[in-house]
Amino acid sequence: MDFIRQHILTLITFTPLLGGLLILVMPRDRHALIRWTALFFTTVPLLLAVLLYAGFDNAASGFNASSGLQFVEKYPWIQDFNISYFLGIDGLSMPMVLLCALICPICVLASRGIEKGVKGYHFLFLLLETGMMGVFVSLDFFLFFVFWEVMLLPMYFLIGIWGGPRKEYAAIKFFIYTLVGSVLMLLVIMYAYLISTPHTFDLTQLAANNKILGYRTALWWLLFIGFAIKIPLFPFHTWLPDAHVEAPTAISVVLAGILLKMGTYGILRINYSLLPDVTLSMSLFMAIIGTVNIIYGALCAMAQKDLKKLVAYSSISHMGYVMLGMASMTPEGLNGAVLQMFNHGVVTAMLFLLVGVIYDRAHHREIEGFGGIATVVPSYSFVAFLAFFAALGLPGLNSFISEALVLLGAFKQFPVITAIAASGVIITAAYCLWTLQRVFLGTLNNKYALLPDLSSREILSLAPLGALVVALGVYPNPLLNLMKATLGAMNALVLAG
Amino acid sequence: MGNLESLAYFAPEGFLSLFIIVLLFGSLFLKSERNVPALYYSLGIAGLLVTIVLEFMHPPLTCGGLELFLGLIRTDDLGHLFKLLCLVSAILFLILSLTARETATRFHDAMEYVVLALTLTVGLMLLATSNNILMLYLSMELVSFTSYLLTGFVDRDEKTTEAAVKYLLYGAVASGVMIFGFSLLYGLTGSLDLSLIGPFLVQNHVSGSMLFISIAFIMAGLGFKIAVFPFHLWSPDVYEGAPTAFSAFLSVGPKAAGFAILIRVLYQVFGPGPGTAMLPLSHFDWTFVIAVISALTMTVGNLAALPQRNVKRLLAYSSIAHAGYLLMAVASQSGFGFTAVYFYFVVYLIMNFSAFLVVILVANEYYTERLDGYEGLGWKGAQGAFLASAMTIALFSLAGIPPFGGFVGKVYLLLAILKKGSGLYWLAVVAVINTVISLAYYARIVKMMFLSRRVRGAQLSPMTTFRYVPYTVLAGLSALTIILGIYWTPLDKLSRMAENFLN
Repeated sequence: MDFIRQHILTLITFTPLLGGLLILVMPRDRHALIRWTALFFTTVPLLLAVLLYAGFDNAASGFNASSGLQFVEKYPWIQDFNISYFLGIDGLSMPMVLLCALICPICVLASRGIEKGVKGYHFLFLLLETGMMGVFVSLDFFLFFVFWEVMLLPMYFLIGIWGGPRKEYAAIKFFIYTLVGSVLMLLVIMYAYLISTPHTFDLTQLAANNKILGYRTALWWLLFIGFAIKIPLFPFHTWLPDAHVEAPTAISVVLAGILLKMGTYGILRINYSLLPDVTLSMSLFMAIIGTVNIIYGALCAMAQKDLKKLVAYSSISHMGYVMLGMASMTPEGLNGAVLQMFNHGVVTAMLFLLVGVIYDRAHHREIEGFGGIATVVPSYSFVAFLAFFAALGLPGLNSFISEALVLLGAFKQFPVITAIAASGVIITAAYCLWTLQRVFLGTLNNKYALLPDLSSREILSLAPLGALVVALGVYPNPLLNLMKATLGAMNALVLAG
Repeated sequence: MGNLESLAYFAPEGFLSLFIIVLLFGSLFLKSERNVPALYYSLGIAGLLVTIVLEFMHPPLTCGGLELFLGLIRTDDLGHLFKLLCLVSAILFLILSLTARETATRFHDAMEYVVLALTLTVGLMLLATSNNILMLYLSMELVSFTSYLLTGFVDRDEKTTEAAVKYLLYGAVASGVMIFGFSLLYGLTGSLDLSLIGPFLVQNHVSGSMLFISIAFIMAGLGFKIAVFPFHLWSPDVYEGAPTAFSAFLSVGPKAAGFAILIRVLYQVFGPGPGTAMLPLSHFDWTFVIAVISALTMTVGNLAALPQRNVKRLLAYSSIAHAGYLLMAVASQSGFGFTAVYFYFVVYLIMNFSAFLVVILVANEYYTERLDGYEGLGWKGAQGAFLASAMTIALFSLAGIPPFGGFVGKVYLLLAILKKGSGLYWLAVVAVINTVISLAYYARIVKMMFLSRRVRGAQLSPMTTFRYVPYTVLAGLSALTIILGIYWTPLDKLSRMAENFLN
């Protein structure tokens, strides 16, 4: 027990990889065994994350500083370069770890439909989870980068092998876009390493001595573009609709639910701590680009005929709120932004799962091709209504709280921009309701009169997310309390310049 | 040091030379039989292994380096490291040759092949340690002539002949140009000794157009050897036409020795090198020249690799690009730069040989080196999945993606150039952009192997006992590629020895 407590972050990060290696030595046709193993090795991190939540000290404040970090593990890795294996979490990474731990087992459940190369698929998926967890818990810049890139390879194969008709194009586009971003980051990493004395990759030390960094605006841009590609911010977003549409359901869920958050997480973790003064001076720009994302993403979503593409563009729109909240540099805005990261992860995961469910049955995703199916599949429709209402920010559901906080915080700083951004809520409501109307309401398309309703497996994967949507909509404090102290410290740090 | 005392330090080269002679004469008494190639190759590998052992049993160096044979050869840590690298790559070369159908089925002249390979290796060892212009020229010619022969050794098709003739013509011109440059340098300084030329240039304030012309000509010759822009044009044709195992060797062994001698010439003659003060930059700012060549080489190599449809040609262009990356560290003018060059070469040896080994194994099955021969390879049973995975690891490592060794190597090179200061930051930016370009063509092979659902060609033939050797080697190389990406302290320690060159 003591061992688990001391190495809990290592265990959370590497348990999936262990499972992946186990799967690698299994016979390739034992599909059931492989699936259960994968489910087991993604559930263990979830249980560990619950332990983590129980042991997390909400009051510990301090951002990228030893005072705020908990469950720290630090061992020398490559001593000649002062690279260390440095893990730790604070109020910023804690919600992300929870989100990641929650989404992954659900994705394994949603991967039952994979029939080809089951062994490879689950191995890569578990490797992907290790990469994602690693990004959220590592505090050594080099380690962070390695995890950041480790994530790329499985993602490339998961989209490229198990994806839809244009999978090859989507996979390489995703790969190249992300790689451009990460090599820009690599330059900053090495510059920061060389300029620090003694040379270090330790993010807490670099943050504490951030004044030594020169070329600050250039560094900020290199990092920002690297992360913006991941979020994705306009105009770097074009890989996202391709990747989402072609990826298998579970991978879309991971992509939208977790991977996109890494972009905003990276900006908060690295841009905010290493270059607070530049970040402050760029806040107006970030607010504008966030607003562009909100409006542009929503308008694009409205124009889509493909249900999955619609959800993909809605992700772009919702990530805009995160940017806007981050840019506001107010406690409300920052809390709202991180909460929105979590909430969007949950809601968009639901939406993609729902799209996957209907695609499995109808074998197409054309919005116009359905109609009136609410009468045939009542449980499915109930969950879908819940998810779309959450997406449009209905009060009482989780996204309402985070979007309201974001707009509240942003309004203090940028009233005009926020007013424009708020109009995005209307567009969002419009496309969500319009979609619901076209798919579920109206006259029944007779082709789908015998559509089967949700299976117990699908209910199992959707129910926890649905419960969270309602619970966090009514009472978001358990999550908000986690991040309050850290984000407060971050806010103070940035405002101090 | 005099001739006789020098012999103690010359044991590895001496042994290998004697071994070649013994092998040559011994073969006269052996009757040609079907198992003869394996015998010769094993003998050759055994000889190389003994040479490696001798290389390790080297008497300890009391100071930074020792000049042997009245200054013809300089033995130091840098040369020692590069000799080891050449020997290991020669062993892998022989293993690959024995695996490849085109060379392994040459029953009648297997001995000549092995002897040529060993001779080439001796040449590389001498080249990497040359301290004298004549020695440098002679060893480079030894390497070149054996290379021409090995390129044309297997008469596959008209491409082979074209490759060998092209290589010979280009090579002859390049070495002629280089020796002309050296003769000018000799005329200016009156010395053939690399370690004397540098101080002479400084003390007598030699400068002017004649020095620049000689430098340009020397650089052309050396640039030909390591195939950098604009002297790279021979390499894709030669790589494509030569036996695949030899292409693999050509991209590592001779290139490594070429880099070793490039470092020696640049640092000893034009400073800062051992016993040489840094030349005033008004003389010759070779950092900038090398940086520009480096940027052009990697960009040209990567862009030219993009449209290639033949795997060997593609790897040839990739090898040109890698020479560009390596030049970055040479341009850094620091001890860490040598470490970075050596580190990268070791990693490059591992990943490049594993890529070429897959090319050989696939060519053995399907008689093709074209990209579309790889379509669906990953889905052809466990054997195909293994080959495709090994190739994927090698290619992504070449592209420089963690957690593979190639990434760490690239970090070393970038650190070396960034350490140099803000004047060369642009080169680091060019290098990372090139990384992204290179991914496009490496990923295309991966796409062919895994992403394509069409499975082209027959299933792979079942494993035989004999085939376990190359597969084991391949598994070892792949494992090393991953291990070096995760924990590389031992290799770092080894590579740091290269810094002693500056002491």
